[in-house]
Amino acid sequence: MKSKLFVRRAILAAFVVLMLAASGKQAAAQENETCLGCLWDCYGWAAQQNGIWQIWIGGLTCEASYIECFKRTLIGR
Amino acid sequence: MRQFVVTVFAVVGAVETIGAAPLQQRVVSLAPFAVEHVIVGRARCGATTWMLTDPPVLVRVDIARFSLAKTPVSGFSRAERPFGLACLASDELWTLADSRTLARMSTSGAVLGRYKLPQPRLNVFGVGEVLLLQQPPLSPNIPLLAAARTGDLTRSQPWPGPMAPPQVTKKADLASGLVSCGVEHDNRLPCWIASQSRITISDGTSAHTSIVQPAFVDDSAVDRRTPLQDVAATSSTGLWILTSAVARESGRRVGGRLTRSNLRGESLASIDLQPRARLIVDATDSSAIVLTTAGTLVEVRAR
Repeated sequence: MKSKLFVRRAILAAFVVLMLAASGKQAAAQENETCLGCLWDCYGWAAQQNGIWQIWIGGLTCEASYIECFKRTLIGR
Repeated sequence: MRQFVVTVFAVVGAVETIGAAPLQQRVVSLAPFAVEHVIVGRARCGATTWMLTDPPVLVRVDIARFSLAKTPVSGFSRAERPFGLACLASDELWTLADSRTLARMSTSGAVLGRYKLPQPRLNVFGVGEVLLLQQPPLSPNIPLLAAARTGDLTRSQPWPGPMAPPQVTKKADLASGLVSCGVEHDNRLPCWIASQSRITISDGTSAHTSIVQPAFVDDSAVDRRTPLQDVAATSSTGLWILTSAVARESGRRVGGRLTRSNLRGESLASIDLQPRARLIVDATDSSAIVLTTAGTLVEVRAR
């Protein structure tokens, strides 16, 4: 019983450590979050296109939109 | 000869004394002017500063009258998201309609023509009679800006400015490959990498290229991801440097402190701006005008 509790706590502690370590990266990528979210949504949309070429073009469009989004967030004023 | 040296030292001393005077700010525009959207380009032609927003609207700032006016832009398709702005002689405005297309606009906001580029570009700036196009940092240590003339956009020359990072440190590090440029003076344009505080000022010749590393930026409270909000070159001796504020406003990064600096990167005087500033609209040796987040034009001047 005790060992189970220990394992649970260890997992929880490891989870908290991982979250804290990740928070620095998250802060550094704050402006990227919105754009990245849009990119994932866009990839989802591209993946639902009918043929492989449409999916390919869709993916390219998504990546171009991602760069445009990032430019506006980072060097737009 | 001795008298000449003494005179030079006296002049330099006088210039630095002017710079060292405390700064004061005052609102110079008559009424706040809402620039709601993100400003994706800024260019100067004579006594006029132009800004382009996304969605595309041209904002004209008349420096002499401290007045602003908006002009809607017509002629872009829904797929085009213009970015960057350059103003060349005879009030020709240029922007990137998309990464492979330059568009020429009239000051009344009409798209007059489109020009295909041989390579994709990320941004466009203007200095003198040339367009500066930012190329993606596809190889290490390449110049990120290339100068092209509107007569032949297929040919370009490397511009002595920010260079691509020597190696890709992180796969998702886009900031170290994006260049911003400030307000030029006498064809000397200050440019920097978005994530850095090192400024290259150049007129395109290596003889007139200098690098300024403002040490005070590292000691200031700035947004470390984008330490510089804007920079204006004034004379051969000075710069106005608008450093970023730590906190964003309305989700947008803003400038918190305006510093008068010499070309050694030393702070001569600085002032915390309230309201915060979006960009520098105009600058001289003794004063700078900024557009604030409240939509006012604020003049910062040495007392």
